[in-house]
Amino acid sequence: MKIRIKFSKKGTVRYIGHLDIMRYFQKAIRRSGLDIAYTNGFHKHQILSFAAPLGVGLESSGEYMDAEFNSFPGPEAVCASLNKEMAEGIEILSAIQLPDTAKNAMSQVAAADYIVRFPFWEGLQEDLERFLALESIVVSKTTKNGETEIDIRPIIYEMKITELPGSIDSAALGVDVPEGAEASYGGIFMKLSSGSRANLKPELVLNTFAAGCGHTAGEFSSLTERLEMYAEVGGRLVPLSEAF
Amino acid sequence: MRKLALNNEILLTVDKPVRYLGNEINAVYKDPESVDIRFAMCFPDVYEIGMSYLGIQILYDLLNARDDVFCERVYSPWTDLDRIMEERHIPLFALESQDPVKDFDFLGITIQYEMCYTNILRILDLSGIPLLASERGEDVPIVIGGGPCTYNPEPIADFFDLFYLGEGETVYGALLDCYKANKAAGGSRQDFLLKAAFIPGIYVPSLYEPSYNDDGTLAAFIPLAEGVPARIERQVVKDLDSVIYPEKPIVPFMKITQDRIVLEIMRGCIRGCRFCQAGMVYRPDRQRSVKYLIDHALAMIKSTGQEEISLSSLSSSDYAELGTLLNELIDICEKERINISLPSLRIDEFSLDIMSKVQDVRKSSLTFAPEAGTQRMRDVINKGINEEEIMKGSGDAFRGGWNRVKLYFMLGLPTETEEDVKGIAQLADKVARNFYDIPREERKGNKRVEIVVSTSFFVPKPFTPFQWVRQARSEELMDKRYILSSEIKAQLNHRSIKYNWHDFELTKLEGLFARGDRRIATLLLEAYRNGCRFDAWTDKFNEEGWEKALADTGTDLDFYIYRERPVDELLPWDFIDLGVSRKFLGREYELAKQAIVTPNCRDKCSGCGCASYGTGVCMKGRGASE
Ligand code: SF4
Ligand code: SF4
Repeated sequence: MKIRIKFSKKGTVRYIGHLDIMRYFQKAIRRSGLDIAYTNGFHKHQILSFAAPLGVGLESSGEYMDAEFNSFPGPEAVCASLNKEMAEGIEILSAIQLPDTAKNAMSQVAAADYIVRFPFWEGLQEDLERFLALESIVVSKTTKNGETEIDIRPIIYEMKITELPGSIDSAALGVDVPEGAEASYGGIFMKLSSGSRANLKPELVLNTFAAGCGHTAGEFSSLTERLEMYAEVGGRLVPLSEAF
Repeated sequence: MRKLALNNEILLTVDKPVRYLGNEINAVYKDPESVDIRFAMCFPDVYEIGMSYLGIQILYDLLNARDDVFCERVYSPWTDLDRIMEERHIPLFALESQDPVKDFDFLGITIQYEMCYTNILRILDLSGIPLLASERGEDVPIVIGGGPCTYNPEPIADFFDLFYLGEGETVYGALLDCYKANKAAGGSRQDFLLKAAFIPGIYVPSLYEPSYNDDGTLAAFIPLAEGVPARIERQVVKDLDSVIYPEKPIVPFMKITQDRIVLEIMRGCIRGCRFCQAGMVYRPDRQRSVKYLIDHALAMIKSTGQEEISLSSLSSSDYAELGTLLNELIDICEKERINISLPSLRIDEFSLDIMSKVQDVRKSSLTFAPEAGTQRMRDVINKGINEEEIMKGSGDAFRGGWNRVKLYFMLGLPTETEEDVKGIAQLADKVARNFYDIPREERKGNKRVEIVVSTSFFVPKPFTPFQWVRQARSEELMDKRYILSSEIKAQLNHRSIKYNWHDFELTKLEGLFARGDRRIATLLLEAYRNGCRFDAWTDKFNEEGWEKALADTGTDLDFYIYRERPVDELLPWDFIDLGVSRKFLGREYELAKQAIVTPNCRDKCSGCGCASYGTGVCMKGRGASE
């Protein structure tokens, strides 16, 4: 049976890359004693797949993986067994059973929410309004086949200034905030296209926005968090934890 | 969030930031305020190499088992981070607390190979600890060295406050107690070192002074303080079942070289190959019980979630109850879906049967280490394997479906002739013929055989019967390698034979550090100043830096390595009582010259001297001789 597991990744573990996180979960599941299914063959592998890799340095409160279980002891039991085995910074948030016909998370991902925290400059609010009023925002992107130009405006679904939870200090932010600069920190929320059709990274959006306003993203420390991932169901974006 | 020593920008700049984070499953965390002693345990190479080494894990658990000690890990930052740390004056830190190493009570460095010596200097430098022990004050950690290279600690003696000679499980407790007592009594660094020198197995270099003859050889090696022992005894664990072994080894996030559970089944080796330092310095052969091993295997499987387990020893086939152990282990591993890897097994019917159960025959290759190409040469080095056994082993393997064989040899062995070198190629060809002589249907349909011949260059090591011999020069080694590759091309089955060789640039330095004396420290400092680092990494090896340092310090290679030493010369490591006697080594050297083999410890005791430890194979009560 298919189980979809949602987890968060915060703090120092954000520097651990996708491949290492996959290996980490394979071992954690073994330690938990959960009844996961294995492939056949000489070397047996767990049937486990992840929705979308998270870039090194990003935090997340909305990561997903799909696992094939032989028996399912229920959402709470799965969360509890796995949370006992987690390293500091990784937490299992939910585990739900999917219908056997459900597509896997990787092929479902269509969009993702992010919050990017960085020091705001004066007039940012107006700059952002102007940015979003543009009809097209063409950027060049390096791909396997060289440089290509793409218009990112249609795949920015939403972008707005958002409240930052709590106070900002270097440790909470995980970046070096210069003395006295805490007050200038703000957050921008973005809902961007994600997945195999068009994958837009929040850094690219931030860099393009900052450059358009005469700033470079390199001049300040930012911290990005992925908040949620969505599938498209009947023309609507639905969180992966509900998309079946 | 836990604090990190490196900031966001640096972590996103360097390759594999995961090396520097700590926070792995089973890593130990303590409140630094709640302990009396902070210990930084270091392997002077990059994380994925250092984490693969079992000894650190054992010491980590051993020290952390004490409530008054917090032991953390330190590895060499890779060259990208190294540069950043130097530019921005970021001090080297320990992984767990991310605190600077300089604030610790001890920095323990494990020394597994000679070519890490410049990395040791780098570790000290990055930590902000003066390179020379004589220049250290009260505000820096006590620097301890341990591991196989410390059986000749002299080339690096100036950089260490003390060396720990022997197995870690034995006297660390006494050493730490001594440190605490000294601190409580308000004693100085010097007071502690003087007291530590009386603990068996502890060598404090500053309390000994070498003097030299006019020809450069060692004249005397004298303790400077009253009552300090003139000889230091290697410490040995008597009962391996009675000491701590990891039950919860650390599970790294990143893929490391030894990415599996390691089960150390025994220590020591009964074989006594004459070129092999490990075979001498870990004597006597001692084994753990099957029960101990199975209990620990189960605990580690549960606590790590690793997908593979590996047996560790110098020669697993010599483990007396191998059949029982493997059968139990295979049962467990099938249930838990864990792979077993079995290195250092001799190839015979039994091991082929086991291997076909645990590996995918089509994908795996077999390894033989005849080490020399002719029987005469193998007798000289006391490698107890003959051609018949190789043919029988490989023949059985081919019938079992294997068609890839690796053969390991050494070039530059004492008394080696052209015929011995060519013998390597001929032996490889015979193994290939052996394959083609078997009817195709009997070799599971395999069409071709693939034989890989690998050679390394022999380096004479202290505490072996070859500790006196002349090391071959680079030009000689080059010739031998050329002769061998031509001879391989001349073989009937040359298309089935691939030849890999190790570089010889390192060989002379390795030899120099293996058998050097205290004066070599100047060379190391000079090479370090020339930027030499990570010398064991072929692409990082800075030949120019080394050549310049050799020339500028006037290091006489003819004296140190290209010279046959008289057996009565006082050697820099003679002050160490290793268990294996000089008399035994001398006798073995004579037998080597006559190509006479010595039986293994299980067949017959040859009176090497290790029976004085009163444990292991020595106590099996066969007619001991002396
Ligand atoms: S079998 Fe020989 S080479 Fe191997 S560890 Fe023992 S003595 Fe050394
Ligand atoms: S004393 Fe005898 S049995 Fe013991 S290690 Fe030496 S040679 Fe082997």
